[in-house]
Amino acid sequence: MDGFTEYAGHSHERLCRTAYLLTRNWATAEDLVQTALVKAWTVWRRIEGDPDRYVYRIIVNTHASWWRRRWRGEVPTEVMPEGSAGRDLAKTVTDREALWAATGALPGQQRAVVVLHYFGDLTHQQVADVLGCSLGTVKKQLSRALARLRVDSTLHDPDMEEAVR
Amino acid sequence: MTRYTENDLRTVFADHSKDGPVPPPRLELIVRRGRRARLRRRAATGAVLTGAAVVVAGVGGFLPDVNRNTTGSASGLSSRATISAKPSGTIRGMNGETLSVIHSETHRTMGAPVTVVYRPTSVSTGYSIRCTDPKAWVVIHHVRTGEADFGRCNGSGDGPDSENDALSVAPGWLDEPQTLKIWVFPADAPIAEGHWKDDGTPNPDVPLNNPYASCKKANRKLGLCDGKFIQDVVHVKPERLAAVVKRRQGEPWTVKVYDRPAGS
Repeated sequence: MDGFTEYAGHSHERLCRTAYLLTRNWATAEDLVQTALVKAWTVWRRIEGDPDRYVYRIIVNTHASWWRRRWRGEVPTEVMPEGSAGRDLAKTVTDREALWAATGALPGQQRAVVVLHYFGDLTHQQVADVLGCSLGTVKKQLSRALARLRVDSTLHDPDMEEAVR
Repeated sequence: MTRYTENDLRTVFADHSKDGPVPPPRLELIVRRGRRARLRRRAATGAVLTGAAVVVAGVGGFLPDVNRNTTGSASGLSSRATISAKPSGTIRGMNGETLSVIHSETHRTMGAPVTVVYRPTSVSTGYSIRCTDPKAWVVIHHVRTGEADFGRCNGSGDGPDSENDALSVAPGWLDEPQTLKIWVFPADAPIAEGHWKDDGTPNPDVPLNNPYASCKKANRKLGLCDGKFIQDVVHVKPERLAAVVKRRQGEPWTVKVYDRPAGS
């Protein structure tokens, strides 16, 4: 089918990595991407413009559906693991593991918004298009997620500052 | 209290996603599954054309009577409502939108298909199925789109099990009634273990590409593993399992169809 093989070939790895960040399981991520690509294949000629929007949308919706049907045991935690003070390398690693754990505890839609924006590099409007919701909803979900993760968008990364000095 | 930067978040995602085993896409399998879905769609459409009379319901439409008891069609393809419940309430869809119940039916039929017909009001149509026994198995064939869902009947209380969007619906979605064909099987139906465990984790004994891997005796022609139907076969050809389980009355189960209001 025109363009599908090329799209699947060059997008598969990126889609799997995105799906992994949503599911936290590589086998599940691969299943999810394969399911999304099957659905995309069946409507390929009707997809206008960038297929990413549609494929991401299937991935997020299918994951939500699977989560509801199969993964009810996953309970988001209200409090993320606490890190210690300082910013040496070992602590940075520990802190980032805590941040990783915390992203896994985000509610489904907040996790999707964060992953699509910070890993998929989608703009707020593109995330809204993928999720089929308003720009305001995306901003609200993102704001809540960042607050929960204690990510301050006004803070600058010391490593980055040092690197550009 | 540690605070993070946006770059920390990007680094965490990049680090944790870079080491995974990402094989190349299985294009042959993807295309085969896509073709099978299309074939199912054609076959299912044909079945509807030759099927029995159906109940149509929608917003402001007909709501079946409580305790109405009718029998299956002459062809034996489907059964009709035994109990119907008046739909009520709204839920949040997968994208946060408000969906209303536009149709609901409750049945006790197991081991035989039940045909549910409804008139969608938007492209965001979704559905949920809840069973008294959450371990019961359920197969849903979406007659016009050719999609099929299969699993334990253990969805959570909130939200639809699946939901359409503009591209997933069939052409002319709003122009005519749509049909779900639903099989509910008892928890002890002869269904082999599948790739998914009940807790949602992958089952290493049953790889996706070889559902017969752990069978002592496999009958690939009939789709049997040690005398039980493999899940792929139940998913696509539930009538094979139905022929073994046979129609019976069991604990009630309810299907609800959700949608956005027309024109929203």
